[in-house]
Amino acid sequence: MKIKTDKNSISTRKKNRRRFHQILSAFFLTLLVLFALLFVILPDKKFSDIENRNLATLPSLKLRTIADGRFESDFTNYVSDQFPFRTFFVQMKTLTDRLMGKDCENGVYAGSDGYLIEETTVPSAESQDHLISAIRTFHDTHTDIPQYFLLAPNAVSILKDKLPKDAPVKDQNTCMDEFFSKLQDTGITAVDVRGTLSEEKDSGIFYKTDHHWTTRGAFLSFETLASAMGLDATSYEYSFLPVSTNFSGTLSAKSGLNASEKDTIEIAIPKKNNTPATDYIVEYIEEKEKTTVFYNTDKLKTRDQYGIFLNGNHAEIRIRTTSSNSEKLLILKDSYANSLIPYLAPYYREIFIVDPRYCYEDVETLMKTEGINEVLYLYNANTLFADSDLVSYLGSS
Amino acid sequence: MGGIIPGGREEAMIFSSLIFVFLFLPVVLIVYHLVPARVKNLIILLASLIFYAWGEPVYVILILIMTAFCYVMGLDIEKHKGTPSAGYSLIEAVVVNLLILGFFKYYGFLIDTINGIFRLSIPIKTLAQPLGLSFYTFRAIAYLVDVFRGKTKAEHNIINFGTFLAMFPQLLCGPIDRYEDLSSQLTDRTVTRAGFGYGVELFLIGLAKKVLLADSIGKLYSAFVSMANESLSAVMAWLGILAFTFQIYYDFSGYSDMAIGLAGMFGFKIKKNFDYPYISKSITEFWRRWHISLGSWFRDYVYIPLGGNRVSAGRHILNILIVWALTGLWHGAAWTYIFWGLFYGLMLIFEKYVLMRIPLHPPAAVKMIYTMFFVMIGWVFFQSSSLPAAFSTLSVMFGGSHLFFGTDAAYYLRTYLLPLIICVLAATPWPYRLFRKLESRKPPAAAAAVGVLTIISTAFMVYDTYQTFFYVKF
Repeated sequence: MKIKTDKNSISTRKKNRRRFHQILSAFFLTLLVLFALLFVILPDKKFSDIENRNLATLPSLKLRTIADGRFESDFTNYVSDQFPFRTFFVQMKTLTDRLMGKDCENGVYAGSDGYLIEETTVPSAESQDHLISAIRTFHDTHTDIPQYFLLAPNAVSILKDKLPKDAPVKDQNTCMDEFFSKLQDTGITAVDVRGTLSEEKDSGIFYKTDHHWTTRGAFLSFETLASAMGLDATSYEYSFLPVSTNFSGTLSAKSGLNASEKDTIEIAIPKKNNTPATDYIVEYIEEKEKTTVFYNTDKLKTRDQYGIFLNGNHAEIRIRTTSSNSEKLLILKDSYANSLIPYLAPYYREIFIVDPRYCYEDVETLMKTEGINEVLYLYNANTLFADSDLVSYLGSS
Repeated sequence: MGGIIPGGREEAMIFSSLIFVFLFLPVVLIVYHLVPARVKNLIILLASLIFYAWGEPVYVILILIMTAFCYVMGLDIEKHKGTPSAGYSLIEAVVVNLLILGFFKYYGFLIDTINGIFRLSIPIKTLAQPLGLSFYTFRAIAYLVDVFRGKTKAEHNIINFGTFLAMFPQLLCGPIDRYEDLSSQLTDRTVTRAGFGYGVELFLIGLAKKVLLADSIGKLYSAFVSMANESLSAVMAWLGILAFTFQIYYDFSGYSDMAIGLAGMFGFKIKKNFDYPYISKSITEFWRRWHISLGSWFRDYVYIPLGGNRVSAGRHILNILIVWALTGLWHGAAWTYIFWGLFYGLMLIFEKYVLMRIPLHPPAAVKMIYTMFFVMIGWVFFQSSSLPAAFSTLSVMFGGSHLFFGTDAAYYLRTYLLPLIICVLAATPWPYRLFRKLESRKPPAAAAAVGVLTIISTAFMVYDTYQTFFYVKF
């Protein structure tokens, strides 16, 4: 039998255990004091680019809010929001998860080829019915006005072969089929771009890190929309110009995944030869600002670079053009439309764009005062199926 | 604790939150360290009241009243020891505790049951359950009975008594420790470097268990819960229950570790509450390793007073059933909990009167599989929203569904394989034994390992508060 060496004797073990506890205590206390100091010293951040929200500020101390618990939860949020190195820790967490084999964070899957794909939002039957009946009522009030609904699919259906194997996502196609069939009953023209997009699914029609479609995806969908609306899409040709190669979008922010993956944003430049030139004035109604281009390149310096298209989401925008066509189009939309509207602009004298999430004006008044001739709904499925603002907007009169 | 432990609520300042670890704890530790010895208990008491009030601004008054009441009654029982008056005081004090517990926790359940049986519609005014109620009433009752029995002297110093009853490490989730174990420590304890270090070690390991293991595997359990029964495959159902089996263990034992570790940072030694329950070789052994403080509470204050096993076999069985029905009921005001408790009661009776009498000696692995099989069945009831839902889940698990191994099961098994393996390994004593070996040879490496776990735990705590919006909300 081997005689135990001094290394393993009880006194050495005890000594090492004590040493372990000393080092650990020192580490623990240092960590706490360090973070407490950093927390106090570093100035409070007001807005998180990556989370796209205002960060909690120090709540004021009032007896009433202490008694009902609001101060406590506000203060807890304040500590969390202003915690030092927040983004670093978020990325450490998602990295750890990935190492452990997890491929989904916050409903976003890490697909193949660097694609982040968000899960399907399934509409509740109730909200679906409310929307369809609101659309029907609106249609019946304006039977003389052509109305179209372009419901764009998301990557979760078009790029489903890039999802992780067996990923438990609900089938978006079924949800969309159901919606389109209900839409037909209302009398408006449903525009289904899934076929077009599926054919070109390897042409980069969705961003890898963002939930939007790319400029190319928008263009392909526009071609299908144009034929539904009776517009001649061949009148204009575009070349695609990259304006950014370091776009990190909503899905990488939401999940914390693929932080190093960068997308390219392109804008469509009308080719000189075939295109009769059209001039535009883009008016941001609430902000009382006017510009002559669809793109705000300042947004490329922010986190949300997709905002280059029509400067992001606004309650109401009016585009006036020198188009030979005197029609006036109303678009009720979400952010997918922002990169498609430039293709529509040459065909209408005026395009009035409303984002029901921000607009509280009365739609009927708008129809009358603006003299709208055509109405287009332009939404992506995941956003529409979770939306309740469109119904409110339509029912506002 | 996220509601998985009975009585836990999200608004409370839980141990595994940034505000507790990085703000509350350092402040309390520093103040505690700086004040003179005779004020230290007061500091703990005040910190505990702030800790409690943080999640429960109004009910802190209740715990103050209960503390004062039990303090007075404890002294009263001691004063009248040997006379019937002591007995009356004890009954009065225990009844008050039980009434408070019953009113806040079980009133709704009672009215529901009465409504169901007699087809009435008595309206229910449900009040929010005060945090930690189940735990501090039980600790108070144990104290009062022990004073009555003469097992311990009453606490004459109200600050010390308040510190015992309300100290924040045990306040919300136990362990249900005994006054007799703490009484000398209330007046005579020192924080040694070794003791503090051990407290830190336990706290950080408990934190990692809760945040890295319990919360992660809890996501698998949530996925299972959100699946409708019709689409569940048998394997997915087993995966879901397995996930719950690990989640509740790491959540509860992690929390207990943190509580014991925190108490250690202030110089208190508290007995462990979990002892690797999932390596048990019988249900009987399981309950000596799981939630030890609760099992021994029911043994000392219900089972033994009822006669324990020093009675006829029939009475013994009845005692077991009563104790276990109550144990189940303690966990929550629902039939699923009572059923869960009775299930264990029956298993224990089966083991005592049938299994132990058979001269069978299967290998340890068989015994462990047998034990975990029935433990998991127990958890099906514990986690179900209703008894019919529980039986429905069980039927899926045992082949009632047409699907054996669906794509869902394939996905979750693949993406959670590594975490599940870690959960299985960490449920055995071997990783910790290996760790102790490392610690005894290369203490800095062992400390670094815990340090890394702590940084990752912090990352997970931060991620919990991460919330993005697609469009700016105003």
